[in-house]
Amino acid sequence: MPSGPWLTRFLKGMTFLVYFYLLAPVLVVIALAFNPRDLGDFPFTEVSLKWFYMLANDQAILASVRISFTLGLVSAAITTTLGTAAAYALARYRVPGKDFVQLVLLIPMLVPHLILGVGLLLAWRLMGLPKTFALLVVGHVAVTMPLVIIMTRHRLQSISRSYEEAARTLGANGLQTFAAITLPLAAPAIVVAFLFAFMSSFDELTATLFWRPANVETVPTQIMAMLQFQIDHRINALATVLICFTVGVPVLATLAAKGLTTTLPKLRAKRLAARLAADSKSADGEVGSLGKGRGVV
Amino acid sequence: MAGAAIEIKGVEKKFGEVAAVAGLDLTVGEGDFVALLGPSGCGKTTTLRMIAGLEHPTAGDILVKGRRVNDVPVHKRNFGMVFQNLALFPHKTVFDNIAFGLKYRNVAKADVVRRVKTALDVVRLPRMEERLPAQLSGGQQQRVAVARAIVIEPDLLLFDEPLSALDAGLREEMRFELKRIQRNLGITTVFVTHDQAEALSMADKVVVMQNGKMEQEGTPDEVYSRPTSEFVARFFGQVNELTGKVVGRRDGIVDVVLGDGATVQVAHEGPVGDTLRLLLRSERVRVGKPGTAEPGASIVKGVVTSSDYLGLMVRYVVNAAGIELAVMQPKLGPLLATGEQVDLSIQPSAWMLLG
Ligand SMILES: Nc1ncnc2c1ncn2[C@@H]1O[C@H](COP(=O)(O)OP(=O)(O)OP(=O)(O)O)[C@@H](O)[C@H]1O
Ligand SMILES: [Mg+2]
Repeated sequence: MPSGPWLTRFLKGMTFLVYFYLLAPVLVVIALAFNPRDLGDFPFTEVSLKWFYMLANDQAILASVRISFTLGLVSAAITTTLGTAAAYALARYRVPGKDFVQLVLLIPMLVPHLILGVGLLLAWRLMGLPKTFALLVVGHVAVTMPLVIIMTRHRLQSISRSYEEAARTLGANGLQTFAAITLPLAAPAIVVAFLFAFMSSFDELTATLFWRPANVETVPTQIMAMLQFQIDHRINALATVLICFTVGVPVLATLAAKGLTTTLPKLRAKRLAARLAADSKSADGEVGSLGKGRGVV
Repeated sequence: MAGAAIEIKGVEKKFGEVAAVAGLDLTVGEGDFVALLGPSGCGKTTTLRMIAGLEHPTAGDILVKGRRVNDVPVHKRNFGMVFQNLALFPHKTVFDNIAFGLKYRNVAKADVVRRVKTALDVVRLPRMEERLPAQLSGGQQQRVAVARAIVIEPDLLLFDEPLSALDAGLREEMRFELKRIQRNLGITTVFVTHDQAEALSMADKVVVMQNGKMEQEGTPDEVYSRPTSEFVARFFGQVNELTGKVVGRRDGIVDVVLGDGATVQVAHEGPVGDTLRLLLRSERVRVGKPGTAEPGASIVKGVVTSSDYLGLMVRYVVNAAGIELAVMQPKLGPLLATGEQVDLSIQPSAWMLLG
């Protein structure tokens, strides 16, 4: 092709521009977080941690971080437990109306969060329940459920049934088989699903606005509130912290998943090797008597 | 029968409209090695899974040592099973794989280590405890799967085509190994396969199945030499089908005229004038240059019409007085050429008769 090198160069340039377009706002936010001036002038003349310092001393923001963490952890724990159970049922059993059940479970992903927010709030009111933290948890469980089901179901389906059947023939009952075989094999996906559930709960804004009780702010609603009347530079600092967090968690998740699948068995193998070595040493003395007395197996 | 390890009585399994097993009766004696043999889809796996308890019969009973086990759950049956894909737990070491069944049997820790080691000795795979299944060769994985099944001292060993994933050389070696292990331990074994050589070489009793039913059962020699149906006859290799008329008889042998006039001797009792349906395995005929016929055999003259060189064996098609006969034999000396005049020699006992 005559235009080969030019085409390649052009494509490379375009790729760079696209990345720049995507990442520039993030970079600007991070840069501004270190600029102590009130008007975000550029290039800046000083560098400081002033906004971070103010952030760390703002009780309202700290409270919202606490709320978001609690909410995220509680709802992710519930979603992961229920979602994995549902995914197992969908992957393994022939339940009547399976397709319908699956559709219902995935609906929160298809419906706009605005409608979810209003809908659940109305339902809650109809049942005469007070608007408490529980509503937020229930809502976030619903929002994060589809994600968890999709991720864990995919993994569960890829685990060959014959592993479970082999465990059963060897004497493990249904629960023991699930604990010893299915759960460890699905663990990487479950861990990742938990983290994704946590992250998407942490990120959820629209529906949360309808569900939060009075005076309870999550990080996103807190940021909304701060931005309502003025530009607040602490937000740049908060955003920087959140960006580090959102990049850090998936990286950690990947490492954790890797560790679960490769490192753990290796560690166990090492421990076993040590045990066997010790065992054969102690057995050496009585080889004669052992060799004679034992059955074939 | 008191000594029966398993009795299968009128067992049927339907998946929706499809009957995978359609009324099967089978008795397996204590310590026997029984092969379930049949073409793909004939219900072998389903039968084995019903014995294991992984599938529930829609009709009929399964008895183990005289006790009905239809409602005994899988994990309480104490049967060792080796799956077609082996199903070694990928996240567990060889040791933990083999020790798995002992965990649920309240075996003391020291005994677990000893029994796992002994099982690994039995399958001749010592010092592999720390490996993960992915770090083993196909043959080694096979041995671990067997060790895992025998370490629990099962009342019954079940194999579902465990050798089909191995290459030819290893398959033969493992055939021998499995037979050795089974004989040493004396565990009653049911072995599913669609490979006739596997069934004939390993089993004490071969059960040939078709369409979810038993077609014939017997020792390897019985099903091979005295098939009761054309299906069974054809299952063990290429078979020539002929008709002939009995023209003479003397103590256990009849003279039979085939199609266009060649006369052969057949081991058979029957009146003169009968028309017989005869089957003849291609490997039970010898073909050679005129004058090389075996003693005691009937000789039929013919012309070679084609030859296939298969390495160890050669397959000839010979036209004998208008009848095409397939002959399979080891290559002895030079290949016979197409168009060459030959003598076919057939022993009277080589013929199979269908009732
Ligand atoms: N879970 C199932 N659902 C529906 N049909 C099934 C199921 N399992 C088996 N069958 C059907 O039952 C019949 C017998 O199957 P089975 O697996 O027992 O055959 P097989 O003799 O083991 O064959 P192969 O040699 O191919 O393994 C087949 O027609 C198969 O399609
Ligand atoms: Mg099968």
